[in-house]
Amino acid sequence: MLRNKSFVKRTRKGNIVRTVKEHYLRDDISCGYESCKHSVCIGARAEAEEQGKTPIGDVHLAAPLSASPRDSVQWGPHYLVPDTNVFVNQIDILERPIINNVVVLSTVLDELRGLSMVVYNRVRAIVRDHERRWFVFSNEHHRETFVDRATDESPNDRNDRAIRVAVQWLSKHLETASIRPVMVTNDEDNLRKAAADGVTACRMEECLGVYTECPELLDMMGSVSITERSGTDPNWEGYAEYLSPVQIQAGVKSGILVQGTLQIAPYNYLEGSIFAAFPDGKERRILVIGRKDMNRAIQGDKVAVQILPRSQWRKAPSAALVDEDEDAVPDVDTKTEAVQTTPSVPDTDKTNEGRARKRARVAGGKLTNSAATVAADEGAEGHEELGEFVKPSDVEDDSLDGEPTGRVVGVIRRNWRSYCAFLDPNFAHKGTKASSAPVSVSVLAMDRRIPKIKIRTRQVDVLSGQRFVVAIDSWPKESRYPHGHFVRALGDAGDKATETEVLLLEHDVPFQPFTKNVRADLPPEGDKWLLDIDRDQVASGKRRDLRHIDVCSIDPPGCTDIDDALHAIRLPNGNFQVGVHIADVTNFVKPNTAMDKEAAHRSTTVYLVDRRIDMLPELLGTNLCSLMSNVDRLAFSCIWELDQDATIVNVTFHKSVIHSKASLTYEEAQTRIDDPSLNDSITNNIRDLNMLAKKLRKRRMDAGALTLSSPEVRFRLENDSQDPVDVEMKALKETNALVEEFMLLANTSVAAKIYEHFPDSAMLRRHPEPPAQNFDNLQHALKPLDIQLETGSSLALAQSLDRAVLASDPYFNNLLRILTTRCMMQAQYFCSGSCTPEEFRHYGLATGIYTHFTSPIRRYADVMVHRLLHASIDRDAVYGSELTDKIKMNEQCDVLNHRHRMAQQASRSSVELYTNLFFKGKTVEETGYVTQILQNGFGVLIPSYGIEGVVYTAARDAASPSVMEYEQEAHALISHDKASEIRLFQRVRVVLQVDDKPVSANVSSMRRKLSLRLVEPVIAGLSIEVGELEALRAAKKARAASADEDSKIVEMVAKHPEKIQTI
Amino acid sequence: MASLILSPAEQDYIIRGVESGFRADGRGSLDRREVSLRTGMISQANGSARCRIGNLGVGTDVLVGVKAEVNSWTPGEAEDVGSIVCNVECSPSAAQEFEGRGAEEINVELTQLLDRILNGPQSGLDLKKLCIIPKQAYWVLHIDALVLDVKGSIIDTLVWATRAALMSTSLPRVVVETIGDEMGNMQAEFDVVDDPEDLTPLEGAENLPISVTFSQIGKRYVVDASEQEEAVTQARLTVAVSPAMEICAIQKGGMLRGFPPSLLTEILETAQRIAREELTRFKTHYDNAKSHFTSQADEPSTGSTFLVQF
Repeated sequence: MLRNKSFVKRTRKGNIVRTVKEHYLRDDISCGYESCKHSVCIGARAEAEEQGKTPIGDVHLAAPLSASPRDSVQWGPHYLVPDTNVFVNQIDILERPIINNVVVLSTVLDELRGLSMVVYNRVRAIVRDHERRWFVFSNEHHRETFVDRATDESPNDRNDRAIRVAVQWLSKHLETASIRPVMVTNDEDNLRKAAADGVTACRMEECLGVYTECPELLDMMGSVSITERSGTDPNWEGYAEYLSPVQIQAGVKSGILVQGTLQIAPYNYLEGSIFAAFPDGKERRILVIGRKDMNRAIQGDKVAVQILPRSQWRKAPSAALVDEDEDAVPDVDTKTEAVQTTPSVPDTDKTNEGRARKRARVAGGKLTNSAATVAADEGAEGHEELGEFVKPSDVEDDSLDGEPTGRVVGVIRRNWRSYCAFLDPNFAHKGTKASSAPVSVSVLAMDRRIPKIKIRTRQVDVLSGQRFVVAIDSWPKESRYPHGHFVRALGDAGDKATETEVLLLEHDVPFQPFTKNVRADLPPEGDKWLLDIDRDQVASGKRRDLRHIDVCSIDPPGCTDIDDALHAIRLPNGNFQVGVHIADVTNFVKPNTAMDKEAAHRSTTVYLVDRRIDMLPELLGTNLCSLMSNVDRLAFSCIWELDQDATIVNVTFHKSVIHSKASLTYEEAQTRIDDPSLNDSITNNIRDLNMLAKKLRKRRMDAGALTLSSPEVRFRLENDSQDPVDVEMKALKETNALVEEFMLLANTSVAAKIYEHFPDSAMLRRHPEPPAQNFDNLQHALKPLDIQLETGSSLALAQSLDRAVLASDPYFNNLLRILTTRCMMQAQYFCSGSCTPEEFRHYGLATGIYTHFTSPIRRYADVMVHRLLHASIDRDAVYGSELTDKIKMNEQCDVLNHRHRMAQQASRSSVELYTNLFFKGKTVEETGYVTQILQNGFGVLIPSYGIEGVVYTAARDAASPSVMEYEQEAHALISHDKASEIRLFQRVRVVLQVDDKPVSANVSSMRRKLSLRLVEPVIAGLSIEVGELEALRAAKKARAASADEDSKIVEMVAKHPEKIQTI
Repeated sequence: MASLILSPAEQDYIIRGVESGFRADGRGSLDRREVSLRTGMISQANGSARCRIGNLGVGTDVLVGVKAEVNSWTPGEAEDVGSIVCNVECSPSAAQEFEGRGAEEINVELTQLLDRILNGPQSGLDLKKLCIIPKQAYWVLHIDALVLDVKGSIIDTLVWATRAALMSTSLPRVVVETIGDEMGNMQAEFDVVDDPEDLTPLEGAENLPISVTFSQIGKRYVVDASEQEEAVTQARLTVAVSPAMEICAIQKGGMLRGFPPSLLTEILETAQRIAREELTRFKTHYDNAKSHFTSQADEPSTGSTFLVQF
């Protein structure tokens, strides 16, 4: 039987198309019950077996539903048949392995695909897992369960009816087996109709009640009924309604609205911004400040923003939000908001007065409920009164009115994910013993840019002091905070393993062990793998035998994944032959294998302080590909002839086999260079390389390469517990630069080569020139010091950085370089076909073209470059579309860039975690430098530990007034008595502390934040009292005497991106 | 139109027959042949119809599809109306002389004729209803007619099929929403309702005219000329008459002779009378086709099965 199904939709170009599909109804569809006696079902099972779908274990693939499903008092043995909304809202629960024997109707599946691709794919994944015994019943194609849409029936009603008809049919069909299908729905109307039709149906809650052994399932219920939970906050008048998608489309098209991805400031979750493309083709930053204007959008959401009238634009710098006791006073953030939406330099008398009033109120220290409401009202009133809204086209960069500010009027695409979070300590006491009644609590996400999330839970006592995962379900406009649900527990806060998992989850790092499929792609010989002259094409001459050459590798100590090695030979004509040999990873990782796909997904190896998350399985990374000494290893070699001035005479690339004679550490290599008594060939090689590297470096510097700085530290970890016992700055030796120099040379040479052969699809890396505005704040702060940065070109910048030296402070230059680094753009991978050759430039390295070739073990980009290079040099190389498909390559570039950024941040977070562990219980007084001025605090960098934190000027408690006033003219904080000030670059003394209160005590201890307190300059009300300081110093001395006897210390330094960092 | 080559004796036979009130197939001079009509057979189109005048194998057969598209407004166009674009194509299989580029001339002639009848207020269609957002977006109805077989009276068959196709046309419902900035600038945008059942029928399609084509043969004229009669036709006049009995369009064809004014008046009056009958006949056929279409909705509507029924 055949029917037509049609639907209409609007294409991207704006046209409306009607699509008609033929729809066949069949009568040979099986019910999915494994021992069904109906002839159709027996036939279907037999047919599946004929087609090779043999049962896995005792699960029949064509009929996975078990003969003995879960038994319950009210229904007996039963299968669950959830409706679409149950899948959408409760997928976290349904994913639990305990929920099996589920019938997924094709009606539901079709609806899911339209509603949420993410959920659809998750359901699909469960169905594929045969052990779960989920079954897709094609009710839409079954002659007896297909329903036509009745007149005056909405598509939703029709689908609900289709579900009911399917359940009814199934229950009749399964009657003889006495198994009952149970429809799960939370739709009242549907429940009522089911009762009328005699269909067994229940709510999700009832259905979960059956799983008595897993009470936490009930906690994971996505919040559905909104009305029940709102109205908790009488001071909250609700958010503005969103515009309809069509209106947003119209607004964006006509330029009334702009769109962009909301980025929340790391220090203040009430301050966001978007980068919006304007009609003139430029991108500008639009601030979105305050909860009201952010209007339920969160970090990463794609939003539509309306730009506010100029008079409401913000002029002041960012304020850091102290979240410690944020909810101690319920309306405290309403207050903060009111202050923030107020322009600091008002244009009208009205706001001037208003601001003064508000300030006074804030200064008064106490804010009553009513006052807060008034302040908020004034804000709202301001929106209407203060003149015209600004059209995006009128926004100019050099406007004196402050920064363009807007408000969110609609969300184009949500970017909700699961968040690692912890219970708001203020709610910890709410837990009542052994009570099964759920309570509503708020949880704070580890990511500070995410607002508090309200969840309902029955396990407050268990959760307090724990880290767990939550998901956001909805954010109704009546509710101040989004509603979510508990997903799973991670472990105790402060526990190293838990915290590490948190940071991996938060940075989206895939850290699961490699799957069986991936491991199956490893060479079958395993670690017994040996060079085979024939198999590895050495005999045929395709792979050059370089085993006779004295090759050595230089790496950080403890490095096990050695991906580069070097050699140098003096040639008879006085020139040098220099070779860079890179591990030949692509010999083992073939395109489109499971291992390749996994590596592409992981994109990079992630280095944490105590562990490494590999991109490739260990066998390859630290053994077969690692260019260890005294074994034959396959390599990809880049061999130059360089003259005495290190100018390239020629360059060739070969697949090769090498036999490294020595794997040295930087230190060992340095010692060899410096020891005149050593004259063996390896040492002489290194000396030649060093000589050439210096010349290369000089030339690079003359061309305008930047030497930037970032504070990096390494920890000394205690052997067993892996607890940090000491911290030190990473020292750079001459040999670091040596290796770096040749790697840069190899990368540049390879980039040129692959671009020549694949002008449209070469994988390259570029570093865009930073726009001059990025330096504005820095330039402003440098003015009093009589220093001017030339930002016109990288050469000018490099030279002006070299000149910027203060005799009084040797660290100043370093500090300036650190701050300059922060003004830079991110370097990124790209596909050569997507940019013009002018955009290929690498600003930081001052090269016209650049790529990554030298670390294929730990970066996937290098793997792709290896394949491209191989295809460029070997005429016979066979390759598929993976090297030529521009679109796919662009997509891969996006993945790589994202993963790299995340990997860097994860490494940094790991360092931060260890810093906190290191300072636990310690109090240290240190010298620091001011790196950032905020409205209510300032950032301090402590070079000796490489850490940075914020000193709040209102640090005592959130409600107390700031003791410093921000002065815009000087970009400095001035104390009220005008006696002292804080400005950028200033040297300060601070005390570092980590709370050693019990973890669940308050927010800051849950965040395990390092707190900084000012010692010098002495500012009344802000810096530490003298008496307290003395006490701290004395305590420290006492502790130092007892603690200095750690014996087994081992240096755990991961091979860090220190080689070519930030580049 | 399609020219059949007849011997002088045959020509004489037909002319004298017509002059004496007898036509070769036995009809009276104002009698029309049987018509069969079906609608909605092209599922991808917004409206469609197929009309055949005469019997299977000896009739004129025209298939018409109406496809609605959204166009964006460009300056210089009328601000608040939609438009209709006609295209008539004679299939090479319909007649020998349509092969190669032989159909070009007749294609243009028929296209222009159809355009003259439909594109304008006189057609009865309210083109303003086809405007979605003034000065921004409007519907364009593409009327594509395919002449499958020619056995005389191609124009009338074409108009019948087109009329039925337009009457069966329904457009997806669009929702228009507006957003304004504080300066009073309004911006509108529309979206289509994704529900294949939620359609709005084309308004005013029942006001479309019907055409009656007169062929002058010898001293007399006939309507619904057969292939042989067309071969001896000296002049042809097509009159389009609306259901309100207004004459919407007149087009003369045939180069051999002109009409005396007195004959013209007579023709126009006859046209009105015939049109009234034709409209009633059309309605019966259309309703029949419509109910047939809906009652057989479960049935496959692929081309081959359709032909058997026809």
